[in-house]
Amino acid sequence: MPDEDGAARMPRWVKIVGAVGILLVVLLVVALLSGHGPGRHMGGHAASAAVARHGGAGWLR
Amino acid sequence: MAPSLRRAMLTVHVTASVGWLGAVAASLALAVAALTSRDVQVVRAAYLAMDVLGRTVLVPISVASLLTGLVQSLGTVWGLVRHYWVLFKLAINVVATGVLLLYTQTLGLLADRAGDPAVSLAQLRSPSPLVHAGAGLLLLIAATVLSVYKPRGITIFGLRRAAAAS
Repeated sequence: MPDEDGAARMPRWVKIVGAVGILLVVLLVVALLSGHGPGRHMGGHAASAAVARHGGAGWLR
Repeated sequence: MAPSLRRAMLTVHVTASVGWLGAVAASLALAVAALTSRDVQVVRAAYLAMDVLGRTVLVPISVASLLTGLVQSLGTVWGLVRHYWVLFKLAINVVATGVLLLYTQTLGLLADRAGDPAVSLAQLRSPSPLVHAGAGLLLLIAATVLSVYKPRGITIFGLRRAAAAS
């Protein structure tokens, strides 16, 4: 039955967007694991002091 | 879901999502100003404004967009995991909200440095807000395109549900 086969087949756009999405998520995880997480963009004592002040919930200030 | 309630929820969802897109565009403009302006007061003000914008606008509307999107999909025939375009929109929303919640900490640190007169212009500048706002804008534009075009494609869960219903 061609209609059911067509419905069950994953569309090409899903494969392309899915592959790009997986790549982006992998890059995001690699960036986080390699030290590019929150607060890691600034070096020095000022950043350390600020991290200590803010704790883990800066958005709740 | 009753049609009147569905329309009200859709209005809130579209308002929150479009507002999120606009607020990210504003953040991108501030990030560009912070990187390119020669006026140290403009650079300091840009980082302080990005922090305020992040905490008071971006975080609430991103969470509102996510929650109203969940209600909208679960309360209508679209479902949450039946159609690929809904599933991708959900993934985009979850990732963008998660990164934003984490990134507010960095914005707070940048604002603290901007408020410190001892920190020089060269020490203040950071490409990080530009990268994050740019990536966020691309993701939200992709989500908007998916909402408008609603490309075809039913997931395995949608097919199973359709088979069970028939």
